[in-house]
Amino acid sequence: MRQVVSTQDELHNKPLTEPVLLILASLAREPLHGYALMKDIETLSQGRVRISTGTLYGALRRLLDDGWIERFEQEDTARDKQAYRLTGAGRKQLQAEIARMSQIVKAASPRLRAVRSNI
Amino acid sequence: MSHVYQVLLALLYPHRYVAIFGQEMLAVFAQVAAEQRKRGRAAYLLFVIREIAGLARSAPLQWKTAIFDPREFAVNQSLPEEVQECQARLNTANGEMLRAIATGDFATARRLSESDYSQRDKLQTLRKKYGLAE
Repeated sequence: MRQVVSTQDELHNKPLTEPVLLILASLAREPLHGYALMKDIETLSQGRVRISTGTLYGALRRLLDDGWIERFEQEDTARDKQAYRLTGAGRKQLQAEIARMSQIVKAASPRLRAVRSNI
Repeated sequence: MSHVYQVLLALLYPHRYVAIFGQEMLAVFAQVAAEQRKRGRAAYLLFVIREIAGLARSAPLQWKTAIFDPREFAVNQSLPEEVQECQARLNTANGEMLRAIATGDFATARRLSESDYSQRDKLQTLRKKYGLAE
């Protein structure tokens, strides 16, 4: 039987979906409201990911339920009063996911280079 | 198009979800719609298709949460009476707001939405008073 060994038991152990990863990465720098978050996700993904409002808020809701982000009222803006920020747990999840991805990139890149040099 | 989006939101999503995120989603939709309209008809049409698909994809997940997540039950009986009352008032107001949206009475919906904010503030104060998590 195949055994999966996790070194991050206290963390969410499934890879994050792309919208969730992009939302967390976007909020890592500063708190944002919905529209700014949507625009930043587009910028972060270099225009590749255009998230719909329904998808964005569905993901935000899950992240709120999991305690990875929190919602608060921004006092200095007339519109979009509700903004979102990363919690400590959310930051840990993002760090774990980036570490996981870095490890894969680190392991896979030499193999790809080796294949290229054989062609 | 915002009105169509508002009606779809009210029809497709659980009441509680719309009460919490409805106004925000509508505001974001309106901002992006205005931006896409400037880019031409094709861009706007693609945007509308993407938004409707996004709503249709996300709605079943929200219903699943609403049905199976115990945190979604309207009023938790173990909460202090004051908190229960406030939560129940909020739920009733949300129901009225949704009915107003569904019937196109947006003036009433807006008024109810404003009172919804003050009820939410009150609930938050009560939760803090009793040391309850958000």
